[in-house]
Amino acid sequence: MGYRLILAVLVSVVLIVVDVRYDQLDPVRRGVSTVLTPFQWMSDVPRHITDGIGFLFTSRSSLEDELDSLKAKVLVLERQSQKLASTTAELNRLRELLNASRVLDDGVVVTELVSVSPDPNKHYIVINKGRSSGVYVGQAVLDEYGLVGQVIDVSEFQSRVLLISDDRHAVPVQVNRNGVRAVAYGFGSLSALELANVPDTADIQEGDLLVSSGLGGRFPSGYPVATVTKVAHDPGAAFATVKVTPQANLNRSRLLLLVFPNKDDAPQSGVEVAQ
Amino acid sequence: MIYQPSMLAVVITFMLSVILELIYLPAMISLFRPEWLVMTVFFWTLRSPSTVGITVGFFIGLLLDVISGVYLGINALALSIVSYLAIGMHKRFKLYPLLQQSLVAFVVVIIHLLIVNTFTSLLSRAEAPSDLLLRAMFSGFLWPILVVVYDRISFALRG
Repeated sequence: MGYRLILAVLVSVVLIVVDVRYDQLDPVRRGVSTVLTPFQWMSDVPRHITDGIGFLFTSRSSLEDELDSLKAKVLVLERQSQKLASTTAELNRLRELLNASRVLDDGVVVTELVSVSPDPNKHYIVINKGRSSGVYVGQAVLDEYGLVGQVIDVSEFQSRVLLISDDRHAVPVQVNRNGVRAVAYGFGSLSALELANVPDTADIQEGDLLVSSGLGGRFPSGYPVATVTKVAHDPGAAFATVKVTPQANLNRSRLLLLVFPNKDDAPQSGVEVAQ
Repeated sequence: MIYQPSMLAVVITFMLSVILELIYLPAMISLFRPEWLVMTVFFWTLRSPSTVGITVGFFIGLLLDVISGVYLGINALALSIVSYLAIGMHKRFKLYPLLQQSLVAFVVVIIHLLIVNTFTSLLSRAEAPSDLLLRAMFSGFLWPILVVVYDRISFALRG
């Protein structure tokens, strides 16, 4: 039995090294994830049942109230998007004057959350769109308030999204007010991120909105990421400590948006393209 | 139990524990979430080392790697070692009283968690989670229930 254990340990160590260094094992991971898809659906059944029971006992009047407030919200958003269309056109005219490239509108696809990480120390979620819907590794995921994370694993019908709050995640941002650049790191808390290596003299104030800068080449630019909640200057430290709160509802959103930076790449079925 | 467990029972219990492993629990309870797959591998290796051994442990470990989103091979390594320990003690284990069995299951689960945790903290800058002990304790606590349920399943499906 001993030699078999040694063999298993050797193979495991080789696998770990290969997986850390190269991405040759991605097809294996993708295959196993695809096999796991029905299990994921089954593990989600209890939550569907509790949701369904909750829905059965929702009163008609509260549903009507919800409908009214949603209608009001749609009206407000419609008005804002009317203004947005003319502003975008004006912006593009101005950029043409500057000989800069046009700002392309991003295409988005609505996706639904299937499951979340059972381990509270790992911040990832699983969504119900996969390779068959054109999802790719590195794609940005949003909710209605801001950036949620990026796709790290794609199987046939589902993909795994690493949240910006995970301690393996960092996102390049800039202050919306003045364009100061920084990198926002997650550290395992759903309600806070940290800006790394911010000079003590940088003009960042509490309440500033941080948007994605698009500098890493991974996230599209201009989506809200977080607001600054605390700036602390320690005379003994080289850099300021800046705590920020994510804009997105990382632990509440059920419906999410997958961003296709080039509108033409977005698959046609079930696509809702922002105007 | 003297009968040979049927493959069907083994497959069913493994599928069951994959689902349990994936189920989302509220933050309070998820601190205690037991290591279903580790306990299932341990159980079957003890019951029948000839059908479920180091090889099965290795492949279930790869599955667990994908489920928990760590580097491929970490859980495979830990679960191979768990099966190896189980093979070594499967004759003695039958003689232990239930309380002592739970205690051994606790120790085995914590060995698994410590191996996995050592590798993940070596390879990423993640902080060491503080819930290892709680999870292992809860796994040991659930061991008698798991034994009863799995023996029922395997008795009902005996060949």
